[in-house]
Amino acid sequence: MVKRADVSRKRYIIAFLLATGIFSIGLLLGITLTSAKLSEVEKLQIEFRNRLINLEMEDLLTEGKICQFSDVDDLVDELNKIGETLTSIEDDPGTNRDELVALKEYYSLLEIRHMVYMQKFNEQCGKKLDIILYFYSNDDEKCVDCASQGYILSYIRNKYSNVRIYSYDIDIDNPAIRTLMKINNVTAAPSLVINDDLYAGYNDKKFVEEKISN
Amino acid sequence: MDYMQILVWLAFYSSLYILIFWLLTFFEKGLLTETKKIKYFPLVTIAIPAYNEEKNIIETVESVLALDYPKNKLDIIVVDDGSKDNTLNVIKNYLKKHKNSNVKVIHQDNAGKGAALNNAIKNSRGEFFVCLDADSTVAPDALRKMVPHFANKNVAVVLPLMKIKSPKSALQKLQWCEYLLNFFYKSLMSVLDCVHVAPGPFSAYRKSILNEVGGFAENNLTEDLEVSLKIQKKHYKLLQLLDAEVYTKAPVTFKAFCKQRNRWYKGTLINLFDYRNMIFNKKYGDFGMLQLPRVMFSGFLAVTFISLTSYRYVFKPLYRHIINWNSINFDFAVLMNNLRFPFTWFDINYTNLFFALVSITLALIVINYAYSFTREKVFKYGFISVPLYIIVYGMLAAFVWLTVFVDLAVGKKQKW
Repeated sequence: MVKRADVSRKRYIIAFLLATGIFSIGLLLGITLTSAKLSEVEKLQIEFRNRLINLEMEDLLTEGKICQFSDVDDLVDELNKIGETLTSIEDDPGTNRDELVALKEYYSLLEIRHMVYMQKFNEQCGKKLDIILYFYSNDDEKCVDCASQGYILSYIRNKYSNVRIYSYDIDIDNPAIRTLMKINNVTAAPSLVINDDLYAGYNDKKFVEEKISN
Repeated sequence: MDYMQILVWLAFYSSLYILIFWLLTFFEKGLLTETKKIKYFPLVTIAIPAYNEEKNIIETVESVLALDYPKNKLDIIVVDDGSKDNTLNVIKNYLKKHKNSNVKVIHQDNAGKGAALNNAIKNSRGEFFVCLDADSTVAPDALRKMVPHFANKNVAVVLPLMKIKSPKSALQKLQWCEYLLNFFYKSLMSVLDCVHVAPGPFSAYRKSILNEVGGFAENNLTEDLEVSLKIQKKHYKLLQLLDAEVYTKAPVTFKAFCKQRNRWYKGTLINLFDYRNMIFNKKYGDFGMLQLPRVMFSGFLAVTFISLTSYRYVFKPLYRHIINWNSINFDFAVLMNNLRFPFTWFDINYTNLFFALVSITLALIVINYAYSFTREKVFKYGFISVPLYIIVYGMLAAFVWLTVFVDLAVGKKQKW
């Protein structure tokens, strides 16, 4: 009878330990760096909030002479950068969901705060800016067209320098967002509010271009 | 919960575990690299089953006749398996012309390779039985390097290193790289008695053991794998050498490649199902506990890993881009005006990046060893073979596995 060597038990265990070790390093690296990403966003948001407060103080001190301050519009790029960063982090499997939701909620509040100033700036200073409010959902089942709608709006923002866009996730449970939806009669995503007029549902590029003043 | 991501990680972890296991084996036990000097020359039968091989048969027979081995110790049998072309006449004319007496030609009605080999066994005189596919040629010193390994009575099969003959197309160059890696891996498997298949080109069998296990299965898609499983079941050894060489022709077209691999993979699954009691069976040592489960699950792993990663990182984003571009009427001018670096450090998934780097590093280490032990140069056939293997091979294998699963699901029948 031919005898066969026993299983190499020791090697199985060492391979398991090494594979698990390498795998854990990968997971830990992902978690650590994703956490660093969130901290970076938090830092950007604090910087943005400080600039916004600064703007408010200047407005109060100068008794509403907001037109003297170009910062209102300058802040748009910063706000967009934070928004794009949050979008990239959203897809990362290592992201702490609670922390992300908190950051998104905070971002939405900053957006509303900036939007209010932008509307005031637009009205009082004779700027002919088109302000678009975009209500979306990341839930693909709830909003199949949101990805395309978002892409069209990015395109519009890049093409037309006088367009300012504010995006709000309707799934964020926040009183300010709910109020914003209520005053604009928004009930579902996607919905666009272009210069105070509501356009519910998906709106293609041509339609959006017609509604803005160019 | 991102289930797709978890599946990709599971596939990565299992592949990593198996790779580390074999690397540990390599560093601990090394490979069978010593060339044994031949002390006596037993009678060896070399069987060449041929079906429609009129273009290749002469070259194959000539390579056998050129073997550095006493001619009176060679018993060469060509079995024409009912070829529809002129194979039979081509070989008969050749032998008549060269007056070669130790080559026997047998004709049979078409019955498949397994039946042709069994026919050859019946008519053989050798102590050892070597089968050689009619599309392959053998190095002159191969047999004398293989025979001494039969000194160990438990050795049932000795296998040479198989290389792709003069690869020309990109697909052949990819297979050239694949074969070098596979045979390096097989030589490592043979250290732990884990070889699960003795391929057609120049596998040498101890005839008494071949008879003991009942010869080759007929009407089997992969009779070489089936006979190896029978031999493993009896706990005999299959040795993979790297110093004896045989050269085979690789499929040139994608269709031929898929057809060949579909047969291999399907045959593997069917035979593993027939021998399922060996899987996860401690009685068969590492072969039962690691190798057979690895072979069984490799198809599922390949399909899962490659299809999910391609879907997630290639096809889904591409589809999304096309939809998006369509929504802006392909107005690329605006996109070009706002062009910026496509991603920042925020966009990178560091866990997946780390796993990809680990995979590439380990793959390069294995490729380096494989080329070194098979005495080949990485750039022998240009720059393309290794990158092509790393990038494309997994996708091709996954595609073929998918066709196998579909064939099995719809019950498609396939002949050898």
